[in-house]
Amino acid sequence: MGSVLDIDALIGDPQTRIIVCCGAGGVGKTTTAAALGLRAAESGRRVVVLTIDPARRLAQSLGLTTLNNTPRAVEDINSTQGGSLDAMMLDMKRTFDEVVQAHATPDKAEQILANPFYQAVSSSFAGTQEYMAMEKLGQLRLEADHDPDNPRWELIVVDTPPSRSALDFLDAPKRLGSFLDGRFIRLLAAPAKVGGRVFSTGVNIVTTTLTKVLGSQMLSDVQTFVAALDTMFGGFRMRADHTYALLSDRATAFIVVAAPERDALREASFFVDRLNEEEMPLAGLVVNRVYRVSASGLSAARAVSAAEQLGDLEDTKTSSSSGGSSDVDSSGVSEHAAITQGLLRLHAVQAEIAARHQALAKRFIAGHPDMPAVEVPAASGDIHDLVGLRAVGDALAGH
Amino acid sequence: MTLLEEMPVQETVDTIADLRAVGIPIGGVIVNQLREEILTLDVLEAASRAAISREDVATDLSRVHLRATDALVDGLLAEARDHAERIALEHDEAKIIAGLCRPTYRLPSLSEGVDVNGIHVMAEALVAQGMA
Repeated sequence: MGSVLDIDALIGDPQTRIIVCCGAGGVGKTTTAAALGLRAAESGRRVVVLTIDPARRLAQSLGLTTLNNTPRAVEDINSTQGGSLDAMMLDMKRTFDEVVQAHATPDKAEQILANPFYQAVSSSFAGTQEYMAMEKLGQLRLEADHDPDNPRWELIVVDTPPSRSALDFLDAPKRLGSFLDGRFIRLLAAPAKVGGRVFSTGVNIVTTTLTKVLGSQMLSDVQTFVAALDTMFGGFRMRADHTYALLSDRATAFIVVAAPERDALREASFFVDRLNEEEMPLAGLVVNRVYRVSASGLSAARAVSAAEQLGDLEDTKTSSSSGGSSDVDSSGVSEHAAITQGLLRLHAVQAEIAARHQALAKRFIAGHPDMPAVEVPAASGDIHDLVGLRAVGDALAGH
Repeated sequence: MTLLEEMPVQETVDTIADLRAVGIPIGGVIVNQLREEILTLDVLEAASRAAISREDVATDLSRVHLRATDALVDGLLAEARDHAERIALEHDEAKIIAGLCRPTYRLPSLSEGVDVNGIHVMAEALVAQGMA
């Protein structure tokens, strides 16, 4: 069995500058990221948390009421240790716009931003969110060290998008390349790029056919877009490479978050393997929402049999006292016996869930023997305030 | 399709509003992973107020030869209180779903995960509730 993931050592280490939380959707990544950020801030570090898609009330508790794409200070944290916490929610479209503006001449940028095809791609293209999250991370990192002697943020905690393809950003340099170098895109862009007669005849046939299929406006939008994008491609690629280097750096720590369900754990294993393949600095695993019972000494089976026994005792008593005069007494006893029976039955169900969670978590942790791991018990309610986040932080740190 | 948790319910409400805005009719709402109701409302209510008598529970446990240690009794009561809290949250979310005024179908939580048998269980539950 692997060692325990020491969260306090990780977030307290001045060498740790970036923590990336990844995992399948719905496992509590955002909550984990926010809890880590809060804990680090309250232990004295200057922290910014980048969240992708937080639950509304959690976002509100962090002071995030709108997508504003710029970090804002979280009020009401304990700053006695000298730390601070900023938080922001990713605005995917705006981040994309910023990239365009940074890499194209002003009138070219304007042309791209107004392009309908661009507008569709930047707000809904599969994978855009992944790239933009990483783009934003790169921006925050630069901003953090704008003044190296007095960094605005010492630690950036990032929550990755809740999709299966959450690690697509690792492919960003490659994928951007194949998208823009792709034959389809080249064909589309051809009229703007290829001048030769031989080519243009062939290309024109293609273009004519595509025009019939897509409509001429759409096609010309795509062509303008691709031609424009082409001029900024170098910039895009450089940034993607830069982000990749940033992520592989030792100042970065990945944390894979999982929940004790078969599918979520399978995906977590996929993330672990993928990160290892890419030689990314994976710090450890968080198995989140592991159900635990309070009365851990009583097994599910014993609880069920005790509940049945109690039922039998009550039955005997009712039948022996039927017709008797001690109605008040016996009904009083029955009532609390029924309550106790309910408690035992409830415990049996919960203990079974807990046992299953334990088994799944153990199996998962055993399957990655080199990975430090920590289990976080399930909370009975949703986490949506700083108090809740602090409790999660304590649990992450093993308290 | 939703769970009785804050975020899925919120997203369901948003999705339905979005669909309605563009004129797409909404069929029903399926609430998935409902837990079995083990405690009665009275007991849940008493549990959340910490109004269940420790002594009574301890007496009952002893009657069935369980060692009624403080850890056991307090543990059982704590579990009931947590459960009551969770159920109360679910009721709040269920009210929001009811407020959508769409036919609602309920699916049980499948503790063993979803396999072929599980699919049958779910299908039967939907048919039994009159989903065409």
